[in-house]
Amino acid sequence: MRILAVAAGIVLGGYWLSAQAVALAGAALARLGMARSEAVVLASMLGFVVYLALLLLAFGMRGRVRGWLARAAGVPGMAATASAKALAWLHSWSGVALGGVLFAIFWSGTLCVFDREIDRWMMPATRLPAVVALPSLDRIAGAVAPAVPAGASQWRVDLPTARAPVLDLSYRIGDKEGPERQFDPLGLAVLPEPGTLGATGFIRPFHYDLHVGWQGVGKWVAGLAGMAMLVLLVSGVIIHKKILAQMFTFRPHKSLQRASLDLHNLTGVLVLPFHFMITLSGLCIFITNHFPQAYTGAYGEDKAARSAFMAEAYGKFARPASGLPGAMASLDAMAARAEREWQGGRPYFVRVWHPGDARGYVELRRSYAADVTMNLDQIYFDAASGRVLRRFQAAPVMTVQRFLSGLHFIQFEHWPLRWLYFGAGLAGCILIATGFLSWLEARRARHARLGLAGVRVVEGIAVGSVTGIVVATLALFAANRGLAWFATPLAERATSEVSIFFLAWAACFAHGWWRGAAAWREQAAAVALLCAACVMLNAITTGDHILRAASRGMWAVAGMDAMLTLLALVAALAWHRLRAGARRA
Amino acid sequence: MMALLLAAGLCFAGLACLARAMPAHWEDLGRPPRSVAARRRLRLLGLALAGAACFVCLWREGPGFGSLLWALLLSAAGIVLALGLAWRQGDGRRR
Repeated sequence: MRILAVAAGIVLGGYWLSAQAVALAGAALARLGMARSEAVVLASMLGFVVYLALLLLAFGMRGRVRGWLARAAGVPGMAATASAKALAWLHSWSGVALGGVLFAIFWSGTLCVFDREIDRWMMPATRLPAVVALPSLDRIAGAVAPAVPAGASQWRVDLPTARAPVLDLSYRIGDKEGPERQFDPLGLAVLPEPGTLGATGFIRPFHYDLHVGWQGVGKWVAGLAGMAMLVLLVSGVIIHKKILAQMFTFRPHKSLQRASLDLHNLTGVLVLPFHFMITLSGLCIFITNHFPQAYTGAYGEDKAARSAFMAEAYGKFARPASGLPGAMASLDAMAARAEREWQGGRPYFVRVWHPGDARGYVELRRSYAADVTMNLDQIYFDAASGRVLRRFQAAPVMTVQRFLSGLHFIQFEHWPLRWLYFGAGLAGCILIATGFLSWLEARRARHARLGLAGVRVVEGIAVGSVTGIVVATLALFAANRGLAWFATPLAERATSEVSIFFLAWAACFAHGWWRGAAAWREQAAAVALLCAACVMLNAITTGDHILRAASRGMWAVAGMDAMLTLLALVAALAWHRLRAGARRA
Repeated sequence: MMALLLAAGLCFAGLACLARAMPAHWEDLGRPPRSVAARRRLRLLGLALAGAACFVCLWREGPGFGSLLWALLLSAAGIVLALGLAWRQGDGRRR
């Protein structure tokens, strides 16, 4: 209990200190002549590094104090081990405490590498051929106009990309988001409602807010898990310095404990650069969420100060509507002008603010499909005259933040990199899962002998968060096709899918606590069966079985089915080997 | 595509040299120990090959994509190498 209180004190106190340091550093850098917004962004990004250092120092301190005592007592050997021991303690307990959340984040993030492809699988109406020549923006605007209600304060069309061949229309009435509609970009016809959130609507937000929207709690938990991941990576390398001398070691023929620890070290060391950068960049995306007060040092406390910071850092133009009717100049002329300004860069979305108003304006955003950095290039035009109102480009430090964001979001078109990301993400999942396994196997015999409940409790958490979330994800996919098969009303499908995901996940946790070690192989069997069900349901409900999908160039659908088949085989093999192992024992 | 394969091959060869320079890995394969000088030469060769892979990535893909590609290819090559070593060791033991 005391340890818990101390740990919470270090986590909260460390955060408070770093947040104060961020606001102060922002003000100091601005005083030294840096642009205000740049100073705040730089200080916020460094804030995560400061926090990481504080956490490692504070938790390592337990050992260090003991180390000093040992040195004073004249036993220098013990001094070194005390510090290493404290870090080992930190590594295993932060792993056990947050490993479940981390696995959920890594697993959903890995799926998001192919979010658009999963969308095509889950939304059969959008399995359209890639767009070669887009109709003119003015024609698109005319086609979507009937779907925008009269009182809309803005509407926006996201143009099709190589991976998402649809036009996405969204709008707002006042501050309320209206329902999104999809259009066929060639015929400009409205597509039927998808009846699902898809990967971009459910798995992606789950990756950063764990579907806990209330008070932003999910984002903070994800942020804490991200900090824990950095702590785990650094402490893991320090305590296992020895493994660097044999970093390619993998002994699958030895005991489960040995093999899983090898795999843990292997993925931990060899994929360390990716894991560190993907975690740090994931935190840096949320600078304004995790350090919400960062701007106060440089800008002041009030609400106007915050919007000034946001406008200077991220770019933003706003002006109120006049209430008088106004005309609309040619969007294509604006796009041509923007392409000239951007030296060939093309817009990826068009947004019209105050449509139909005399003081309406048009926002064009530059595509970043060909670059890692997600540029913030934006141009605002007067809707009536087509005159440029404002141009914006990110400043240098902000561009670094956008590079980090880009290497996290992978919105660029680069297939080899996308597959490498997928593999590295899976390596992260293996890293976390084998971490759990090593913890369990190291204690299983002792806890059984002493009658301790630790292994039983942690095994339930491990099963539920590792194989459990895989089962839940497959249940989501199977529900997506199954609900279509049973012709469930469209309006209910999206929420039913999400409920099924969480029910299946909860059931897997319960199953893990009930069955203990046997739950691993039973859930492996469930994974194999669900994968097979998904592939069959896709063939039944859409007719696009893997051969037809491949022959028609629907690579997203064929790829998804291929991955499901592969996972079915891997899970079946795992089930078979686990069963053989259990029989032998 | 050719540049990508070349970079991947260079990464693998570079890491293989580093592994050969590590007594733990080299002697696990049942080979006689190497001299310190030989190990240092292998390490330098390994670093040079990995550096060449870095050059190929940056030259063909630019600094943004190139640096990401290099880091991820190194990781992937390392995993493949570790699996290969495990396979060879298992193979040798069974024989």
